[in-house]
Amino acid sequence: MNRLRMKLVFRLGAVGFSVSIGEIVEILESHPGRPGGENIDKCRFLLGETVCRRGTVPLHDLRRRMQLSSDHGVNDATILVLGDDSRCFGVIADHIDGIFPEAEFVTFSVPFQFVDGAVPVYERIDLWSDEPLVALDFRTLVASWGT
Amino acid sequence: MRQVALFRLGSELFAVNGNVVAHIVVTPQIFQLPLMCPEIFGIFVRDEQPVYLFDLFKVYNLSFDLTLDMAEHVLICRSEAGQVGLPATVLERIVPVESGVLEKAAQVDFSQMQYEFIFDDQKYQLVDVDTLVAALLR
Repeated sequence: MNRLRMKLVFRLGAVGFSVSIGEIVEILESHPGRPGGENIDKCRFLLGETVCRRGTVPLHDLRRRMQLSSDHGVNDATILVLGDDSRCFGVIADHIDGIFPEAEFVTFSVPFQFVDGAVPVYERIDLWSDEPLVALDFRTLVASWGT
Repeated sequence: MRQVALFRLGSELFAVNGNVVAHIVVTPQIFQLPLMCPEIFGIFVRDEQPVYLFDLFKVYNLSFDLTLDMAEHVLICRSEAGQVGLPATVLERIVPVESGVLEKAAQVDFSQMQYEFIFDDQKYQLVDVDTLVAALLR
């Protein structure tokens, strides 16, 4: 099976997210980074940095960007490092459900009338096992950090 | 025949054009999506399609909080933005439009004149689904 035609499902609290495997650089089960301190930038939803492939990448606060409440700390979380050819960043996941074939997902655009806020953070949802998931798109997310 | 569906949400009475109502269902599991307008209470899946559920109390600036207990049923309606749901505690009846009277009601938040459907001496706030969708852009 072509691994690029699969999606990873993860959760922040009760909200489910999907992201194409092709946009995932690495999954870090522990957090060897430097959260907090001077690296926090609330305007850009920046939590700090995390180590990835002998370098560091910014760690962004997807939970706060999505205006979700927080129960988990950074250090006990799983980090998903997302990226393309030019840049990478990490986001925190509370729980990873697994990796599933794209054929299990049906994608719909979110009607623009229903979205609150001027900057789109996501534009599509995936229906998966009768559950709507926020379908993350790397480029849309990059633009939403305000960098 | 043009029909009007009459329903109650909590203690409030509403009516909707029966021609836009595709299904009336027992409320399924509702999911929350982040960054939705406050007028959108949640989303559910029916026949592999997303349905966005309106919070009619917020739409009409009524001082009640919508709860899942209150929304026992959903009227699934066709709109220009796809299928949307109107929560209902009780579906009272579906009647021919000629059996009641339309009257202008007080203007609500979204700068469009609203109408009430008067039936059996009761006033039902007439919900225009496409107007609700368009009003979210304000």
